[in-house]
Amino acid sequence: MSNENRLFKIYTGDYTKNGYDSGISDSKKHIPKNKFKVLKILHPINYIWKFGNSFDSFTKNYDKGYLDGQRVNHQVYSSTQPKGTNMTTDNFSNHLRMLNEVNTNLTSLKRYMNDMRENYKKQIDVAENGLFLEDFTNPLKEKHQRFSGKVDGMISQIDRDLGKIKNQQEHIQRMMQIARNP
Amino acid sequence: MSNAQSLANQFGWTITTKDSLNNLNGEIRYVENKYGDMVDMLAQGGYFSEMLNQIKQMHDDFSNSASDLTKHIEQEHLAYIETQSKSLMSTMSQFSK
Repeated sequence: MSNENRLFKIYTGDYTKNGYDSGISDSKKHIPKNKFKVLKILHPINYIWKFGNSFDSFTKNYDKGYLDGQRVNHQVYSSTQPKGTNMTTDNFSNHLRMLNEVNTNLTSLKRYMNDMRENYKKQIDVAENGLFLEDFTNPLKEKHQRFSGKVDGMISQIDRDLGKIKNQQEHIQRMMQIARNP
Repeated sequence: MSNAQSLANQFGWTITTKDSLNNLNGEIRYVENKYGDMVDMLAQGGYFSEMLNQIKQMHDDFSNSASDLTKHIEQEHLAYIETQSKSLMSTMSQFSK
């Protein structure tokens, strides 16, 4: 880890990665959970500075990593499925493919809505420039403003969804790596 | 431009604009359905329950926004333009008498 990254970690007290990696590692070695190794991993400065955040980010992600490691070890893919269901990299690949497809659809819709909003505005401009009377175009301009606001809202929502989908894809890719190199 | 030509242009405008708005609504519904299909397939394919719950919630929120936007387009825009379109058609039919 570079000095810059180390200093940044001390400053933010973000031990997420250390916690997750330690959890995975302990789980793969089949050793009992030991969250107190956080005390060895934290930089001494973080005993004073941002201790709460450092401790929480390590221990919560340690649990997550430990659980993920167990899932891979025991090939139990989902807590909602009956025991014994096998987890394979094919499952992961299928899930990634589905997430990719929705990602593509949402990205296209976002672009389409933006283009459509612009084209609709141009249509209204054409209507305003002599084609229709003002008593038709003025209300339409107001309607377009409300429409534009709703499109903005939906685009923001899609952006949030795309971010969450990306996180899930990264999680699955990590799990695939663990499954390939147990 | 003659009155008849102007009316025809206005009528053409309403047709084109309604088409684009209907296409947009169709596209939003298509993506919403595909999104829902993906959630169902993930649920059937033994997806991680924590991530599945998150994606179900995302889909529910998306469905609500999609429904809000498509209704807005139908009720505020298409209905308004349709009224104008009918009025133009009525005027044009008087011309042709």
